[in-house]
Amino acid sequence: MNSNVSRNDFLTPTWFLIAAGLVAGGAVGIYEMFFGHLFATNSSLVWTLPLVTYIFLALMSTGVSLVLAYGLIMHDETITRHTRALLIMAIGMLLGAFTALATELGSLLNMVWILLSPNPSSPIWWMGTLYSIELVLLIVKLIMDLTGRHGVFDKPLAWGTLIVAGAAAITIGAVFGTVIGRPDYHGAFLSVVTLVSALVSGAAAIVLLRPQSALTETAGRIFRQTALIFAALVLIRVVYEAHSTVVGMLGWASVWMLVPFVLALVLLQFAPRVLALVGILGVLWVQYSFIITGQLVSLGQTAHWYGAVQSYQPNIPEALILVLGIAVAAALIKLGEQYLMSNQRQDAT
Amino acid sequence: MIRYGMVIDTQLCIGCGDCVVACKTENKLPAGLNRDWVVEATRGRYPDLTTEFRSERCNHCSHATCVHTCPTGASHLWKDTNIVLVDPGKCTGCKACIAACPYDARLIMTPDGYIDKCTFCHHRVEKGEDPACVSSCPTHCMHFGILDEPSSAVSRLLASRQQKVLLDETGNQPNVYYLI
Repeated sequence: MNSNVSRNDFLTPTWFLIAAGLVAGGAVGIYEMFFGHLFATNSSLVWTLPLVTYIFLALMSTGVSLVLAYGLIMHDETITRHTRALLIMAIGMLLGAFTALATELGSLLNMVWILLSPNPSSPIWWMGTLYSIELVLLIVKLIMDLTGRHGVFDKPLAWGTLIVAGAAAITIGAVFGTVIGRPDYHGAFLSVVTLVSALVSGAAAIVLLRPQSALTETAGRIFRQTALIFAALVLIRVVYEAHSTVVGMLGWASVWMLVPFVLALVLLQFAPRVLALVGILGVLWVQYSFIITGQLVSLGQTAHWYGAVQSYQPNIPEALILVLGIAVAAALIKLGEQYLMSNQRQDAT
Repeated sequence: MIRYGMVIDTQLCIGCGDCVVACKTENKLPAGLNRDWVVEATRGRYPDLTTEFRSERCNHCSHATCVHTCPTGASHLWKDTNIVLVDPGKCTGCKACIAACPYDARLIMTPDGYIDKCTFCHHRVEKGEDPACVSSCPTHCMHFGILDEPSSAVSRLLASRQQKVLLDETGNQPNVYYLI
């Protein structure tokens, strides 16, 4: 623990932005949980930007975990040298995701209750359980790293993280893919999309948030390769939707979604951080698009209430939950860096 | 498992909406929320078209995807039957069941946030009575009973008339039948 952190370390533009996000988003979150409903949801359009925020941050955290697990298993020193920083990033992002989910569910207790009252046939239960296990594994690894306990458990923990994180990302896709009544959701495709989007956004987050080093070069390589796969997936979906005659399918993919990934593929070496951010925004766009589009067609009585096809735009409180999730993740990552990485030389290559 | 079902004669239904009012009254539903509704659809091929009224609600499916998808078991089967209920105390408001239901038969109960739906008036069924919507139908187009009992009114109706179910292709095995 670094005892040299002073008040001045918090008087920075970054911390000012984080504090503003925490206050504005936190106020909305507290109001939503204790006083009344602010989100633009209804009985037909139930999952909106707060849930997108959860999925976006949870998958990004998964991507960081997967990159770290890969490094530990393959003994890639460019990654393992930064174990603590990557663990802090993954934990921060996952807790930011859980914060957004708590506002979506309306209570922190509801998140705990999902674990305590299990229904193993439910993809959401598996998603909650796998991400809880993932959080515990990450915290155990961080404590082991802080206390200098390395050795026999490192590899099993890395394999455990790899399996749990991979399964969690696939299960997020299954939450949507197992919905048989909604053509834009149904099928195994979304599980592939969520797994690859985890890798793209996780690798891009490392490039964006870590100082330039051998780590960011390795992460950049992973980002480029996975971005290519992701662009191919989006293209496949565009072609499929163009030919689809499925009743009730609106289609969530567009050729414009390829642009951020093509840009990143071609230009990453010239402006890595900017293009990593572009890639992350591209992933958010895809996730937002499939989650929202899947619910826009009303299936029954709600067609009379809201119209056969709804339109959706996030309202300000929902946008502030996105800000809150990112602010919580950023605050935890900054705190981790300031307090837990004092004696680390992980920034060096 | 006892399989309860509803048989609705679309030749007799006039779309009056008494079933909706009866349900709302019986179950004390707040303004703006209904557990059942009436659909006005067109039947036949041009130029031989007729109007079809259908009283719709939860289909209490034999393979209820809402029950499978609920992470906490709040959506559950009543006793040893196919009647799907929601335990508000267990419901986290995750809305997975709303996304999963192909019939759009679930709604968010405001302001508490738990999910609500048709119960086939199980509190009346327990006493040997029909659901409120069936009891109140002025044209007697709605019938309720045990589908696997050959002597029940619903089984006899299904044996004697052409029928359909809604969205059979989803594999949910719905238990609300429409006589055509």
